Amino acid sequence: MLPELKSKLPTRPSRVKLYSNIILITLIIISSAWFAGFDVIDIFRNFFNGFDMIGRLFFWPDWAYTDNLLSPLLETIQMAIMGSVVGAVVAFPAALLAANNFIEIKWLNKLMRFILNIFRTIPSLVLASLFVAVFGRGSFPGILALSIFSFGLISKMTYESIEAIDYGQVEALTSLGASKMEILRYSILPQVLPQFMSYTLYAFEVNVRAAAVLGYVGAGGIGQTYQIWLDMRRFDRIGMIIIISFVAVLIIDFISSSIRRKLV
Amino acid sequence: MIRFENVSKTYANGTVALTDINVEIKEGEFVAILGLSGAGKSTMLRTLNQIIDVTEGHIYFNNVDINTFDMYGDNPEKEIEKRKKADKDFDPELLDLREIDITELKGKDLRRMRSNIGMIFQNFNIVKRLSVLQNVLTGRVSYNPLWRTVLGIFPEKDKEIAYKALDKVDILEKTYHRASDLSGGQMQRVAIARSLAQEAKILLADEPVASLDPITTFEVMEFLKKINVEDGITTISNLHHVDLALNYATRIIGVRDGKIVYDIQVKDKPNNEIIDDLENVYGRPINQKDYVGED
Amino acid sequence: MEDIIRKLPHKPKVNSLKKTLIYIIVISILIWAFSGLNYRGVMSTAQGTIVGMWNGLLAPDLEYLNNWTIDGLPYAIVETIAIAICGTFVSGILAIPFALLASQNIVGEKVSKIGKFIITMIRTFPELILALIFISIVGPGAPAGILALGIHSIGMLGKLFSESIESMDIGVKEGIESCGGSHGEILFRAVLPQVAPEFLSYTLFRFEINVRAAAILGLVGAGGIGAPLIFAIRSRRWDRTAIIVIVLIITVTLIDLISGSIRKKLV
Repeated sequence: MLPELKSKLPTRPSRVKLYSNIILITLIIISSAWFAGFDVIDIFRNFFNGFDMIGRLFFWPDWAYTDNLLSPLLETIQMAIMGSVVGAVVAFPAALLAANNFIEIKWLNKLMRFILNIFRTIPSLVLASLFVAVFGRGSFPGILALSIFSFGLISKMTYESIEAIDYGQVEALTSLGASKMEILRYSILPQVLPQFMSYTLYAFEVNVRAAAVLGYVGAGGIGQTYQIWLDMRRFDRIGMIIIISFVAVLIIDFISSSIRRKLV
Repeated sequence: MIRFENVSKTYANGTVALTDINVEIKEGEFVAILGLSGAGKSTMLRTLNQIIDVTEGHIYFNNVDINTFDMYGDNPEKEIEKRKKADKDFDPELLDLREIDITELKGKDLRRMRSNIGMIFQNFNIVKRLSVLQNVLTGRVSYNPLWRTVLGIFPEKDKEIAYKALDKVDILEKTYHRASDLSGGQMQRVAIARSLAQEAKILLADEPVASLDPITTFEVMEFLKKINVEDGITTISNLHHVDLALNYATRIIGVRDGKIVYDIQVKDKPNNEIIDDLENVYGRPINQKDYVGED
Repeated sequence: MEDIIRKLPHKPKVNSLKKTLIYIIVISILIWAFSGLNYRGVMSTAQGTIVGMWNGLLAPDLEYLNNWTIDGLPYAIVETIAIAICGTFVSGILAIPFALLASQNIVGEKVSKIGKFIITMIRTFPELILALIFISIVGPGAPAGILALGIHSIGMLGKLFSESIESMDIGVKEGIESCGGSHGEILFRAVLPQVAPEFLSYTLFRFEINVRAAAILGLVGAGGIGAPLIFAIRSRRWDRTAIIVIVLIITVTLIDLISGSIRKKLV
């Protein structure tokens, strides 16, 4: 290249950071795989067992078993609804406290966010097991676990929504002498309510899936039967449970998504 | 009616917005505040109803009843007569009229004081998801107990006030429409109606027509003038356009770098002289951009 | 006043009917759902259990925490994180072809609908069951968990990735097409560079979720902290339960924080 041009070229930005990041990530992944004993070749060898298993699950599932499944399935849906609703009801005031533009007490906002985070980090299955130890087997501990999980999920999304509203409407209501409650009712609520309901429906979708397995620890719903049939090696029945749960989730997802689209 | 005394405002980040503002505004005036962006116009307007507080100084309102925070303005006798006619139970003996400094009010008192002052904004700040009627009714929140306002159940009397306000700005046919269905000019009229429903004695307008096309601009300015003249509402408006100030305001205040540098009654001088004077306010000669457009 | 009332438009009644109908449906569903709440009260042993839990919380099993062998808490937590890392990595790679198949602007309307359906199917399959299936294939332990997470995460990542692809700027793709780029070149030089930051962000987000999921999968024997946790609960060892839950919360929160700050820098 002509020497005059070469000297005019800007220095190429250093790629050291990018390469070192890539190397770091690769190291992390490889060491994780080694730690976990994840031997890819071994897996391929065992893969054919998989097809056998899938075969036993789905060819031919026990269709007659469907009748017994209807009641637990409905119980699962009930649990999911209750969990979402209770969680949502508690989540709304919590979100108001956590949002930094409604109650502007910084330490309170931070405290609420911290508490909400904790609720979101405990998996609902763990909560369900703990509640089963206190309340015994049945749907109640499951509902409690789902409520707490929904509370964490919905409140986070809601307070982020509250913080993102158009502040002008709040300013207008403040200027005409409205109290905090009135500002909430007339400027925050109209903007946030549709999103809040959308989040509740989303939590419901997640809860239906979760409720389907909570039964595994005895917390009600359709999942309670998995363990029994696993022990008895009746894979045809397990396959049927999977299929029914599957179809139910699909239908509910579809209905819920359509409603959510109309809301926002 | 309103008196700024040594008002200064410095924001938390160090910006000095207002320096030693001293000005008196009489009842019934239509004041246009002119100046460059960032000169302090918005801040000045917002200190009046204390949605921005002052760092120094006081803002006094005369003849305010200390019990109800109702304003009786520059002619309290006239106002008392009006009320006697409207309400048979009105007892002037119970009144205790004082001069109130709004910068000292807090909480409920501040809210009651604010209900006397209406404000409209460049972005209209109408609640889009609610109907026009519900928007106007929000102007009645300080006259109703909490349970009514939270549930949205306003008495018939308030609804009549709302209808009257909507009729005044000629938008009655949109009463039940969702506010988001309206055009910009219509939304601003709903905002004005909201302030009317408040039974506000003072109207603050922060660049009310900056987002509107020229024809709608004149429409809205006509309504502002109408309520100023017919209902005696003291109007204070920030404006970008010199011709609007000359055609609609009774008084022009020029703000530059947080200080008042010009204050004149519009009728005192011919327009072209005022335009020349405004060079001092803007720091440059007035040009085409400062006019709304074809008249 | 009367002439103003006369000028008023008619109050729309149609909306009110629809609204009332919706309210009735929603309330009936809620009533039905809550009828299933059969609160049988706490167990007779509940009081002892709660006291035990509280005591366990106050005096957690620190010995388990300091046990650096394969039976100890640190090993289990690290294994959980390792499962999450590998599972997320696998799904991140595998999700890309699925996402491409589900993107309208890559494969066209019909094929993308099939692709989206496949992704939804994968998403809906419960991870726990997937883990059970893999356990019967490769045996219990971490690899089963990695595979379960890896396959299941394709559901969420595939969906998010395809949404990214579908909302990307079509101009870049056309640019390469018009100067004669092949499919591979389009992929690598137009599509991927644009969506790469978002993909990474979604992958990190999924990683945060997978750490929680990996903790649970141990429940059925897929490695990680899940198995010791459920044993501790079932055998009512509340001091051990407490330390596991505490460490789990701290770990997840830390990972969320780190991952969150990286994600903020990406987008």
